[in-house]
Amino acid sequence: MDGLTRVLRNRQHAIVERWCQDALAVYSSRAALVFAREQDQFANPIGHSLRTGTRAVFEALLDGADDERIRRALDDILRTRAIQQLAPSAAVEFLFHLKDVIRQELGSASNEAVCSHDLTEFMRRIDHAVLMAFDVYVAYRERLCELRINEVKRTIPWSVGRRKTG
Amino acid sequence: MATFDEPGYYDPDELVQIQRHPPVTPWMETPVDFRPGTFIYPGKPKNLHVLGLPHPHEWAVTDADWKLPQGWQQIILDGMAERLSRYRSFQLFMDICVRCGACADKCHFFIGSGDPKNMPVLRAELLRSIYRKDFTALGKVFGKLAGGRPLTEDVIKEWFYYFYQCTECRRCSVFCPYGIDTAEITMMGRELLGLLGLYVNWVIEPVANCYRFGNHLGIQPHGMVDTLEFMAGDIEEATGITVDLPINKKGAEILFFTPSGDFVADPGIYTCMAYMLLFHELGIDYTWSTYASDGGNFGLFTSHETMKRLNAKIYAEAKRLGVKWILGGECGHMWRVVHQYMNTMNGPADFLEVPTSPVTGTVFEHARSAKTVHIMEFLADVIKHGKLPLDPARNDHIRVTFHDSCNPARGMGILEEPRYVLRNVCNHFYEMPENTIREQTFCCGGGAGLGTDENMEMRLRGGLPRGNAVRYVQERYGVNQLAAMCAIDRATLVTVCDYWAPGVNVTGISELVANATVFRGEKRRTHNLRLEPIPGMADELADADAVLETRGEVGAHA
Ligand code: SF4
Ligand code: SF4
Repeated sequence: MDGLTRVLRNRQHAIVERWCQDALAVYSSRAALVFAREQDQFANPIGHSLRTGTRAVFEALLDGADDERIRRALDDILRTRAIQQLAPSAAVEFLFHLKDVIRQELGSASNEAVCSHDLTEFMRRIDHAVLMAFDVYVAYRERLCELRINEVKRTIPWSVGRRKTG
Repeated sequence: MATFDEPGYYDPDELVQIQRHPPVTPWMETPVDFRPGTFIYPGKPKNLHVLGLPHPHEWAVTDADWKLPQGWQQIILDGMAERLSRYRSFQLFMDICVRCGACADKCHFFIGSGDPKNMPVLRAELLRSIYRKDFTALGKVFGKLAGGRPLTEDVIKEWFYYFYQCTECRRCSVFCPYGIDTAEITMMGRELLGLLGLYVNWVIEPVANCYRFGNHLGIQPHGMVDTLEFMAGDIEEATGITVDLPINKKGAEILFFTPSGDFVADPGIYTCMAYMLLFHELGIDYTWSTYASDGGNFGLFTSHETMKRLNAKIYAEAKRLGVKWILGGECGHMWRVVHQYMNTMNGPADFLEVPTSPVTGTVFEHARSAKTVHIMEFLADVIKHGKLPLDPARNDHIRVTFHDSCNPARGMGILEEPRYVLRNVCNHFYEMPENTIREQTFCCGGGAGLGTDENMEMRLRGGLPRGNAVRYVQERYGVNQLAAMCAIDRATLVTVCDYWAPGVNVTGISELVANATVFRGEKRRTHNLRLEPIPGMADELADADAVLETRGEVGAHA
């Protein structure tokens, strides 16, 4: 992996930039433009979490990081996507696109035999990250349901409980 | 052919050409996708009957046929014409938008969803396109070319979806060079939908309750008395103090009213308890009312007429009880209704006096017309005059941030008072980033009648920018509480924080004041109003005793 890792690290900026643009494409083009342009993290939390999230995930993959770190890197992006108008598949699909982005960046180098085996290994890491993303996504969907239940519980007047117990 | 892990399997050039953006359809031709979790259930006919509203009928948001009344197009067009002539702001807002886009990325629903129709300019365009087609000469002739479109059932569905995805927070108006307030366009849109019998139950049921019982929850007088008595019991347990419970007391100096949400649910109930304790301590002559039993007014989210009908009870009750002036609790939209509209709608309140604090003698000149003062103005003044013996160290385990609620902050300019109070009762107060507070505050995502559980996915989209800023101060300063002076916030921000910044609790400001106050005759305070043990309180009892001893100087109001 060393050779490939070095190549990918050298091109990290370009890859992440391109990947982030690609991940934005899940939104309508009008929104994607805004999310790509505005740099303030409070005015544009989606753009910000995509920028920082894609970088963190890519670095974690390069480092061959453990599941925990990959999940953490994915957290913000999936937390947001779990409550948006997206099918689950569309929410995690952007990870697969990293494969294409890498191939685009490497160009003909990706077809060179020397890289190819390592590249296959790297692609497997991406596949694994997709599974992690799916876990994170589902955890947030479950959280959403749990919060809804909690809220319904809170609407039962506090004094009703009082009457029963006291 | 090469296998996938062999050179030549992928053609990089081919891959580059994949177009991933969703297909672009013009906005007018993109139909609404009613996904569960993103819309609110329809108003039940029984509630429309109570209020005498037109066309009560059973329908479901996901039905193809919304069973609109006969001649519905004409009803809408007539309704629009009427409102265009009645409200000059509406006519102006329809005409003057230059589509500069300054507002486009300022709405929390757009920021959290990426749905272009949540850009305020497009939200307004949903109505404006009908206006153009039917009310402008160009539109009548050129239709779509002039930005107009015919009024179809799909347009009505789109209105319903997007006008109940606007919390009427007015953030967009801050950035519009012309001051166009999309909140007012939403209000018009909702009024027009109402003409067809289309309401959301989360708004219209509270309105029907309020119309009959004086409060959104339909709490009857004896229920309210019970509730306040239960609270008095908890107050006694936490502080050892027995508070008075003046209810419907004729001749009291002050009528106090607050949103009914604070009677029923955690954490609002603690704010309500705090009022009782603080009034007791300050020794003011006030009364609760079982008739004016809600400061909240979901009429604001329904129509101007409904708002007026629901609010009439406030002055009527002030008159019946013979009070001198009115004090309002911590509420957001209530404050807008009361401070901005009440005098015009239900006044003049010439039977009341200009509010004067019985504790400090301060005359609240700004309330000369509405005769109503906000609890934060009242408390800030009391604290400024040193009339409350405070020991902010009692809140030392709390690292608090402050959420400016849209209506009191952006709408009515109460920006400094709550901060002044917080700084005096908490040693650890941290502001969220500048572009998320004060006039630029981000809405909780659940105001204007959106705060129901079936709409939770949408609320969390709208709550993203606020939650994101809360998480920032949580990570940076260890913030663990979010204070808000609005009952809707106290309900909806709990969920927003649980999702976006778990670990941050929500509180009212008065609750923090009461927890920091060294009350006359209090027992050793080991528990706060939530009956949670106060960390480190045992060690600090000696300090508290010292404050008690000096209270002759500190709280010389008795
Ligand atoms: S900022 Fe004002 S003028 Fe500009 S697009 Fe928005 S509403 Fe129209
Ligand atoms: S009033 Fe608030 S919710 Fe409505 S469009 Fe403007 S920013 Fe969005």
